[in-house]
Amino acid sequence: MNYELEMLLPVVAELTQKYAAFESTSVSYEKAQSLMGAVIYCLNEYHNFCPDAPAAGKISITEQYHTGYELVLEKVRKTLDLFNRLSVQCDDFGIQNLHDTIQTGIPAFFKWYDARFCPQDTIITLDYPLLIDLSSLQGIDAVYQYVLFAQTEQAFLCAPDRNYILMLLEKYQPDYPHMMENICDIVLPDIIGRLAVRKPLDRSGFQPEDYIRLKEIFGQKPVSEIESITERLLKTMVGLYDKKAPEISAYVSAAIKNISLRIDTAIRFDHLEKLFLQ
Amino acid sequence: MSSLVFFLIRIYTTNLSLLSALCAILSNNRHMGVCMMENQNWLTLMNSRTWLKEVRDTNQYTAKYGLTLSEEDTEILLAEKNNILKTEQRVEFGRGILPQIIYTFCDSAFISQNDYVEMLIRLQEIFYLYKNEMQDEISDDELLCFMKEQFETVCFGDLNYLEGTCLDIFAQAVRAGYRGFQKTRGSREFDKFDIVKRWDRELYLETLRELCWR
Repeated sequence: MNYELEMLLPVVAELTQKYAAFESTSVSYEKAQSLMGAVIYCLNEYHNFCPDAPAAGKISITEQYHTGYELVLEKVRKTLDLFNRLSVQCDDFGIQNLHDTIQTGIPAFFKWYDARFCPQDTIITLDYPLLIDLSSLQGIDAVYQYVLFAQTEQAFLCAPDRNYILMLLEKYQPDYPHMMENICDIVLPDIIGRLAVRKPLDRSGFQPEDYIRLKEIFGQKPVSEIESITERLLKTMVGLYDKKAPEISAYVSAAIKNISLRIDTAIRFDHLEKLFLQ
Repeated sequence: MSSLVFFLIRIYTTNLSLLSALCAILSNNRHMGVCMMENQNWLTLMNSRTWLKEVRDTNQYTAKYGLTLSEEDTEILLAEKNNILKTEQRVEFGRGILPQIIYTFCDSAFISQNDYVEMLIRLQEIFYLYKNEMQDEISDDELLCFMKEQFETVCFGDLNYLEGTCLDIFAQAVRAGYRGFQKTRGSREFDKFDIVKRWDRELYLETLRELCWR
C-alpha cells in the first residue's frame, strides 16, 4: 500500500505527542523510528483485515491507523484466550525449553507488550522451535501464530501414547529435558518409519529387518518421490484425528521436506538407525 | 510498500530529522522522487514559519527585561536549532523548546541584550544534550527548572560550568536511577549531589572574621 509522506506524518506526530505525554517537545531518532514503525504496523494490520477498503478511498489514514490499533488490541485479547487454554493443557514432556517458553516467556510477553507505542516488538525470543518458521512475523502477529501452532502441536502429540514419546526422546538424547529441538522433529520420522513398515507405535525399536524394508521403500528414489511417500503416510496418520485434522495436517506437512532429506541422507550414508531409533 | 518504507527508514535515518529523513528515504524511490522533494520543502517551510512566529512572539514578554530578537536573530536561532537537533539526533515536534527556554531565562541577572542570542543557542545545545544524557527520563519542565536554578545560583551565569559540572553530576544520578526530581519538579535537586563545599552566610562570616582578626 502506497502512503504519501505528508499523510503519515500527522499520525506519527500525534503518536509522538502521546508518547511524550505532552511533557517533552522532542524525542530521539531511535524513538521516532520506533514510533513510525508502530504506525506502519497498525496500518498493516488494518490492510490485512480490510484489503479492499483503501481502494474505496473513503477512510482517512488516521482512521485506518486507529482501526488497525483496535485490531492489534483485539488480536492481543484473542491470543491471551488461546494462551490461557494452552498453558493449562500443555504437556511439555519434561523439556525445559518448551516449559520455559510457554509458562515463562509468553506470560512475560503479555506483561510487557506495548500495543500502542511499540506493537512491532516481539520482546521475547520464543526459544522452543516449531515446525513452521515464524521469523518473518513481528509483535503480536508472531506470538499469535506461535500460540496457535503450539496448540496444534499439542493436539498432534496427545494422540500417540505418552510413554512412546518419552521413550523416543530418551533414546534420542538421554538428557532430553535439556534438548533444544522440536519434539515433532524426533517423533515424526519414527512414526513415518513405523507406518511404512506397518509397525505399531509402541516401545519396541526398529529391528534389522525393518531397516531392510525401509531401504526397499525409500532407497534408490529421488527426494521428490520420498516426499510424496512421506506425505501419503502422514495423511494416513492425520486421518485418524477427529478434531483439528486440517490444522494438524497443515502443521506436520511443514516438516515433510526436512524429513525426506534426512531419510535420503540416512540411506545414502547407511545411518538409518540414527533416524529410526532402535 | 509500507514494509519497504519501514525497512528503508531503519537504514537511512541515522543523521536526519524526522521530516527530512522520511522525505529523503521516499525521494530515493524513483516513482516519488521530484514530488517528494517538493513536499519536503513545502512542509519544512510551513513548520519553520510557524516556529519563527512563535519565537518572535516572545518579544512581547521579554521586552520588559530589555531582551528582544530581530528577524535575523530568529533566523540564526532556527538554523542553529536544526544543526543541534541533527548533532544530538533528536526530532522536535510542535512549538519546540526555545520559547520555553526564553520564558524561563529571560529574567536572569546574567543575560543581557549583548549576549542574548549566543546564550539562547548555548542553552538550546545544553538542553538537547542533557535530554539525551538523561535518556529522556526527565521532562522538559523539570530539566529547565534545574538548569535555571543552577544557572542563577551555583553557576553564576557560567554556561560551561552548568554544562560541565552541575548537569553532568545530575545526569549521572538520573542514569543510575534517581527519580526524586519528579516530586520536586527539578527544584533544589543539586544540593543532594553537590560535592563542593560552597559559600553560605556562616562560612562567609567565619572566613571574614578570620581575615579581619588576624
